[in-house]
Amino acid sequence: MHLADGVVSAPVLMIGTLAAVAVIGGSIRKSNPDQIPQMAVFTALFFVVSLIHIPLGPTSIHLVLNGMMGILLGWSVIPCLFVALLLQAILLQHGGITVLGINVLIIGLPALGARLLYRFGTSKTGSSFLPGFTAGLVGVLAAAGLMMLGLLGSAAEFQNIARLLFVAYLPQAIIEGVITGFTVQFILQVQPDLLTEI
Amino acid sequence: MHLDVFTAGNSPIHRLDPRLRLLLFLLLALHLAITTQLPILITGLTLSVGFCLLARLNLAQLGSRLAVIAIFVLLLWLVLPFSRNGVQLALTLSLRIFTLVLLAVALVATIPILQITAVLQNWRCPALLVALLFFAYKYLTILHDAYDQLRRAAKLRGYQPSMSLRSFRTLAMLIGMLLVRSLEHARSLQKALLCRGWTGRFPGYELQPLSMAHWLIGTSAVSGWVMTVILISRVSG
Repeated sequence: MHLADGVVSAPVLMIGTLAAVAVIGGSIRKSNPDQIPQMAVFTALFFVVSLIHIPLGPTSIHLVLNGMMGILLGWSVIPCLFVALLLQAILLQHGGITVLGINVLIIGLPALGARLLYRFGTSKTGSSFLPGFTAGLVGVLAAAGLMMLGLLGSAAEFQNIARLLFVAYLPQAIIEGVITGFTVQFILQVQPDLLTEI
Repeated sequence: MHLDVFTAGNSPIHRLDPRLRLLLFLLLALHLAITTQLPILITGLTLSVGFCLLARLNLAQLGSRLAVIAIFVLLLWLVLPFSRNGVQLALTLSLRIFTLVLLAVALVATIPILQITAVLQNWRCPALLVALLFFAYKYLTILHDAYDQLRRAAKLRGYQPSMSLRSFRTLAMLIGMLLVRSLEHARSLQKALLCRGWTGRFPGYELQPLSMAHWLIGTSAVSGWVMTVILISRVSG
């Protein structure tokens, strides 16, 4: 769920990066520097989780779990994603350094939305699986949508590829929804204060 | 750590000051990321390959990284040529994507993360991001080992990843367990840091000013690139 270096056009790169700087700057102010160790754990977790493969037909799926990151972290998810994506770009060459800001927005903005959805869902239903599922599902779908937007804004020729990618992310969205739901349920059973740690 | 496979070495690239490598990368990458002129992209690709050769990188590792990117480029070639100007776009993108990856491997992936942290602090990057990079890198190893251990335990009990609700539930518990365990760790680290008067900045990370030789290398590299670009634009009209 990353754009690689060199895919987006100059205007998209510029606007995306400027927007990312604003969002990252704002989110740093909302983060508590005393909680850097906890944020670092979540950042590393995001990185490790992305290494998990789940076989799907002839290919496999890499988990993103941005919805879950959003539920756990709130605004702090943005600096965490910035660092996690930087590490992925440097260590694994996934994504890229020039498109780092854009990738932070693609994965981070849906994560923020997922948190709102989860909060709203738990206050309405009182259960935890369904809101977790929705947050995980929407997190991936919205990220795929933003990625499509970045591609289409770069070149009209990307239409088919963008559609193809979006369809490819549908099963992933459902799987991530299920895993997010179960994980939230597990955390609530084992250590509920973890959900309000940050 | 087992993930940074390109940092070890004593090549001319590895001996270059990290700040210089990062600056050169940013300048070249930003230019190559927005240019649409094929001759410049081809020159850039040649230069990146040259940097990789000069850095004497682990070719097997480099190959596996490039293979992942090749899949995406292949997808581009399968879909794009059917639209107008598609072939031209596919060619530009493929050149650009490979150039930027090779450049990033040669100039950035050869720098240890801890040195990148020091450079970012010296470049006045927000203290929160610098500290987060430092600690996240530290936890990467710990969490990866913990994940391996949990996965092995699950495997021994007959777990096989598959498309089933049961498999997802196991995976969710594994991720949850990982989180619970490592957060314990983070809480004690937080207390230890606060006890020692942590202010959010790392002391002793101040770098020496760049040496004269490095300035010389940097300016000649940048002016060399600018002259090449001008020359190419003149020749290609």
